[in-house]
Amino acid sequence: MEKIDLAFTLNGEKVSRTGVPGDMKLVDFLREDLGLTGTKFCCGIAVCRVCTVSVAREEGAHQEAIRSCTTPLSDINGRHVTTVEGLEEAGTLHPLQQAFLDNFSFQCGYCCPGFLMASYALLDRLKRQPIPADKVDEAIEDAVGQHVCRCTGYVRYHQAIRQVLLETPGLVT
Amino acid sequence: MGVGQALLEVTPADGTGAGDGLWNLHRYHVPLSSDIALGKVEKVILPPEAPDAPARGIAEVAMIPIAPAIGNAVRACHRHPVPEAADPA
Repeated sequence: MEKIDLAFTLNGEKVSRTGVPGDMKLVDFLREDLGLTGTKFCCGIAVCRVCTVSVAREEGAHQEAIRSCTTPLSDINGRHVTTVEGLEEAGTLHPLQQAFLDNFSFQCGYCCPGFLMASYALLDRLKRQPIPADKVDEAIEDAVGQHVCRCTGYVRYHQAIRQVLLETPGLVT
Repeated sequence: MGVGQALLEVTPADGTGAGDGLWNLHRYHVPLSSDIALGKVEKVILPPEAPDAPARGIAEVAMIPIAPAIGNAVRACHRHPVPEAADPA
């Protein structure tokens, strides 16, 4: 197991470690080393998408939703990672978090951070490249259509995301 | 979960399916949002059969009606009328 020196940005803060296993999975590092348990672990084979976090190649670059259960730390070096813990600002929930609560989108909540981070990456994409209103449902399906939820049947997640996309200025033409 | 039980999820009673503990989501298929009638769901709450009918659990509400509802939906798509239940009297 090759050891690497790790340096990346997590929720706006620098994180660095020396001699960490390069093939350690990001979700394990977040939860076990940093104690950030908001990112969940489930299938471990990048199918359920519970463990989704958002990654940018550099500061200000576009956000990409990735599965942290199959992403080795060696891929994270130099990147800017956002997890569910990084969404709120000064104690105020992100509009997506608030919309998920307002719409009762989740029940047990285990899949919620994954839905949040994939939607967060979608919002970032639409800020850069707005879409017509009639393409919103398609964009939501693209972003979270592979995420597994066993409680609420997806309806309220889609409802909440649609609400945020339509109410946030500049995302929809 | 009701849609999964009705259409996708094989759960043999003898423990040879996902219950053996070795299955993951590559073998055990659960519904995704594209399997669900997003935005097109109508909930119909039937009155109790009798004033002293026992209380129902949430899982009964969520699971039991789903398979017949899907059957009814398929019939409706084919323009066949859904037969009414026989009058028990």
